[in-house]
Amino acid sequence: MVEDLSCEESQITILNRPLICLFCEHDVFIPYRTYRNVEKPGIDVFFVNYTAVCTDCGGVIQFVDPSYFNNREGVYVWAFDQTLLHTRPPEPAIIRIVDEVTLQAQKKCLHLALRLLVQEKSVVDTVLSLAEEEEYCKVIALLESKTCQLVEEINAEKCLASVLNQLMTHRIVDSNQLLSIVINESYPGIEPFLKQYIK
Amino acid sequence: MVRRRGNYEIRIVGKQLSCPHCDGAIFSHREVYIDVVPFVDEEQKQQLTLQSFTCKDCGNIQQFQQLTKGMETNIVYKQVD
Ligand SMILES: [Zn+2]
Ligand SMILES: [Zn+2]
Repeated sequence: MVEDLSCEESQITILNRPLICLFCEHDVFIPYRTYRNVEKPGIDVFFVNYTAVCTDCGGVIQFVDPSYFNNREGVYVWAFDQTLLHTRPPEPAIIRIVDEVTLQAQKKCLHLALRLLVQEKSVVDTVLSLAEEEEYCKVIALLESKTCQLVEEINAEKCLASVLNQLMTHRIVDSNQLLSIVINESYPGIEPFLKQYIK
Repeated sequence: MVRRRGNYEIRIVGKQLSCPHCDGAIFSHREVYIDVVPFVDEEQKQQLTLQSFTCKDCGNIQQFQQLTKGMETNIVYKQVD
């Protein structure tokens, strides 16, 4: 499953059903992320959808991302799957530089999220000091009761993502609300959201 | 906005276009432009140019992108009035 469709010749499924051209019944498309302006409070807020063009006849299908949170099973269901027709050469590694302000915001949110898990007795309080010392791999190992395997470098952001996931899995916070904040507001929004749960 | 005046029968990759709603075969034409969400590093706003066909009888809209291979094009227009 993929989060976003990449703008390349591909076969696409939406919630496991293949996308088929209504006119010529071929199944290869180039999906573009397109948008329409929406009403207030939509200043700079766009209604994003996909406009997929059939590579055979040019036929157009428009759709939005129907991914959803399954409350019963407590998982987020990604709707799209995409098979690229042309394999790409591997992309050069991108070194992501996080600016200081963002990094501090990530650490602050991480601290709050971990305090919530400790408060709800989902994890021992040593995670707090491990996070302070930036031992993120160990933090995640504790949370997921696994051993620390260094397959990739774990930064504050990845650690935060994993901790927020735990908060949702243990139903400590409102998942729908948290997801919408993560998608729409990011760090400035996550902080007050978490704070309201701290006793 | 490019517009062909009048009404048309349309053939796309050799097949007659019909309306999925009412089976009509006569359409009016408009060229439409759709904004593409820019990539982070893109300065210039991109647009997708589509040919939009409105069923003369029921108003249903179908859209196609014009594809050209050498001298050939996927969309062929035949004016009917
Ligand atoms: Zn097609
Ligand atoms: Zn019609």
